[in-house]
Amino acid sequence: MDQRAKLIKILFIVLQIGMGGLFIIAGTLKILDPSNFLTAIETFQLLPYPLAYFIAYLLPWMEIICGLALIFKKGQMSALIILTALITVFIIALALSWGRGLDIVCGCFGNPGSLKTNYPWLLTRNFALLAVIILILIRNKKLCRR
Amino acid sequence: MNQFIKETGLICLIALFLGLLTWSFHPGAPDFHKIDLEDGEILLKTALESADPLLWVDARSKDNFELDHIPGAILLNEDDWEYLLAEFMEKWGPDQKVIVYCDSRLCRASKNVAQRLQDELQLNNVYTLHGGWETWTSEQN
Repeated sequence: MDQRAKLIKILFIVLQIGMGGLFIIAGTLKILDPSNFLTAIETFQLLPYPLAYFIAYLLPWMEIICGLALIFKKGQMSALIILTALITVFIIALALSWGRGLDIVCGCFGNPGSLKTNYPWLLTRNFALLAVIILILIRNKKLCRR
Repeated sequence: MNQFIKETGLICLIALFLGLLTWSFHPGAPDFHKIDLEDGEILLKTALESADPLLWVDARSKDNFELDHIPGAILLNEDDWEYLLAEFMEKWGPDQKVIVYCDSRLCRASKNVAQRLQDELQLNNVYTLHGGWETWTSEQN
């Protein structure tokens, strides 16, 4: 294995562990305060209350389990596809809320306080996350084929 | 493909199981449809029953305020903060309970305005109305 390939391999290991850790932290912060996360989901005004209530309990654990799967490399393809789907849906929800002029709470990493919604920053951050996850997904798929 | 479906299903099932455990045992788990008051929030009924004189503050847009508002309310939003704050100061008295409201329980303008009143003017007797304008209009009907 040449130097470049080694570097790329290390980079992807770091990215995968970093992403895993990020989702574990995000999920843990949500599960610590489910009431706050439920309010955050409701601020999007997209889902009926029972569904928002259900998602407030399910989604944080999905994030934590997918994060663990990425770190321990067990079921990582499924985890990556689930995370891709989750972030894509979230980006669409953000765009819709921005279009409707709503002042939403991201709820991504616990309680953000009373800051005004910074849509460009939230969208940029989530597109960046999506790009990294898709990169890891593509690389893992290539490695699986070999 | 089969493996992928199995793994995805397993992740969902584990998440569902852990979610159920959280719902059952988490001390901070919200009850279905229970009214959870956030810090500094006040129910309309509590506000109306209060012995203190009330100063209603409308944190919605000027257009919405001009369409209709709680009787006696004054406009104070972040769009025209400096200008409107002067008007607020003219009306405000130290014995008053300030109650800020915006469109519904999902808007945050009232919380932002209440926070600024507390931070910038060091007012202590400031609350946000749970449910906001939506609650007020539904109670009137």
